[in-house]
Amino acid sequence: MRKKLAAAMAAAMMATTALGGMTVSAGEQQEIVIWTFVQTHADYFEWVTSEYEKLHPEVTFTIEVMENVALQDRMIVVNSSGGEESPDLVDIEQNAFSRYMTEETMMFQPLNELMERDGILDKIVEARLQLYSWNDNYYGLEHALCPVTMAYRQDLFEEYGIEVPTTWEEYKAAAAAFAEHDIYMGGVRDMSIEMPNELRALLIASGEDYIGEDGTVNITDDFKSVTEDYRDLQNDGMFYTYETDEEMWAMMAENKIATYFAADWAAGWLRDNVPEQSGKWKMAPYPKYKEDSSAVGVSGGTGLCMSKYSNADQETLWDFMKFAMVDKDNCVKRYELVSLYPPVYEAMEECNTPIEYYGGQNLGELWQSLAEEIPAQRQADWKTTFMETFSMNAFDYMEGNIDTDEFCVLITEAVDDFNASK
Amino acid sequence: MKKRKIMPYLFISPFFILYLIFGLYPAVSGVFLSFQDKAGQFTFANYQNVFADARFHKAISNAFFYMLGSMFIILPLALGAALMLNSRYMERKRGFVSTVFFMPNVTSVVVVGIVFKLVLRTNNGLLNIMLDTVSGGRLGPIKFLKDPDWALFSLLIIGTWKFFGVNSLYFLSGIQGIPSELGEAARIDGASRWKEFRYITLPLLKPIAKFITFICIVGSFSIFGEVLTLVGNSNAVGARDSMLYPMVYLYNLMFKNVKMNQAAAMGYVIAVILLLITGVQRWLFRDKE
Repeated sequence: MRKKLAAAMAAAMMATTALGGMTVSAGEQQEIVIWTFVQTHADYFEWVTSEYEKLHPEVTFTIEVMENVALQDRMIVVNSSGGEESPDLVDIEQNAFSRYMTEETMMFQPLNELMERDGILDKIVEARLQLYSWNDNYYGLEHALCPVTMAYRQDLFEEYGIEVPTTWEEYKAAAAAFAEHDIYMGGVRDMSIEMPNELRALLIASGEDYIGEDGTVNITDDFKSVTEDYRDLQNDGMFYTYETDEEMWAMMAENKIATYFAADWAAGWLRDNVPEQSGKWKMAPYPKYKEDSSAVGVSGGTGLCMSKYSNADQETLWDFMKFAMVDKDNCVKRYELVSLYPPVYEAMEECNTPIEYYGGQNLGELWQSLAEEIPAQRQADWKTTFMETFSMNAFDYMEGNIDTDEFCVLITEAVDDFNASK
Repeated sequence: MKKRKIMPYLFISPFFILYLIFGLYPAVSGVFLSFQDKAGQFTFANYQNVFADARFHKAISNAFFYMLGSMFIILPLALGAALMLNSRYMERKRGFVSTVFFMPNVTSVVVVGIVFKLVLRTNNGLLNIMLDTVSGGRLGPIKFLKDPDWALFSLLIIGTWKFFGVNSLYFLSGIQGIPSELGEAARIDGASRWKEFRYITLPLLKPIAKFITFICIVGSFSIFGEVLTLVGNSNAVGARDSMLYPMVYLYNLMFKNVKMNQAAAMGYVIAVILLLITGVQRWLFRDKE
């Protein structure tokens, strides 16, 4: 009796193990697990999965929301354990993508063939796909266009008779003019702590991103010049620099900040944090650093990626990815639900509506007009090392203990060391 | 008869099963990992890299600084507070004060980090506002979290707030365990308060002091949550790595830089360093003839 029981249990365990590793085919009942790290994306997934389930009753979804760092750490653990408990689809925040850019850690399915087959490359702003590319393969579909433009206080510019800047030189001149009235030109995260997002956006717009086209570190004279400008704007008190976000909103509420660089996903933060300033803000293109610079920056981004450890049918996963991320109507619905401006060309037009907070300005039209100019956000596996070294030495740079050249040498050497250790 | 012999083992088996799965297996597996390269080949390179890594040295020196700060700032303060709590003037308030002292210890490390970020920040930080008010504007805002020379002290301020109370309760329990007859006898013999403390209280507190310093040493090398909350989700761990502590670096190496094998080696090097320090501590606290 005991032997029979043991045999039955062993058989059950083997069957469970075997079934657990089996790939599900199209048309079969299957459950797709999606991991995301932000509630707005989860809200959209809740809606879009329910729509998909109506069309495909054989497919059900489970959406798990967790904090971003926890999600990325869990992905590393999943990969280390050979795919145990892997989600089928996962939102990867662009900053974390560099973790996966090695043979050992790349745990997503390349999407090139599927994209080419279904003509996706023509439908999405290509720069938004490069965020999730490695070794000539695309691994993710982007949620948002992420154009960085300049929000500005129209009333303050008019009150002090200052022209809205269209170039970086004009921007610095306006900063000096506002400083005379005890008003900061912008609010940025303190550069003595880490590289502000706004600085990277400016570097990218200027074509001087620290990640070169070939993926190597790219420290140019213009990179140094832009970095110095940021340092001086901060040290000369023309930028309000903060350690915690609340500080900046408090300063903004006191009408002490004239401009704010914002991507589409952050444009609503003004409305949420300084609602009383409704109608006073307008949005303008990015001040150009050089004649050939882009009039739009880029910041942030999240790509929906397909886990290579997924047992679900790949065609079903891809079909859902297209449905959620490329389908025109769903992209428009996403904009309505969570204000993420679509990187999909055909969906842009329908998202272009006047925004009351910005005095009825049609932000969508502005972003659409700049879509073709959106620069690429490049990725490199040494990005974490670059940022760590930047942060480590930024205080000394800002305090004048080291000059720009020394600062850049320290960063370049750290990246070289990283590359040598690979 | 046979059943009776098996039962005790069955009762204690859950702990050992869990320990085998979640304690021993990962530890042993970590040793193998630390001696492997990415391809799984045997190598010493991970240990060589750890020993040659300037950032690792910095993390260890930060932990040493914190450890010394804990021993020479937090523990004397805690001992003083324990002596005060033990005095007859505090007899009726002891329960209340002990509860207040213990509260920081049960406060979530995330909450502590967030609150102290607001207290220590440069612009409108509570501490800077207080310093400004007290000094009449002569003391400019101090960059508690940004300036590398201040960042180490800032973490000690947080550590003092969080651990001072619980350590004073440990000391209090030790003091209350000392037979009162010893003090009475000393006083009859004409011993002053200081001599009573120096020759009776302090020596008899040795076992508890040994325990507390051990906790301090291990705690100094295990700082993690406070730093992670203070620096937020960024690559920054303080200017000149002033907030880089062994566990923070190990975590970053494992999850941000994805150098798993080197992180495993680092874990074992930290464990050996801790063993050495606690060995010295045990020797210093040994019973002398």
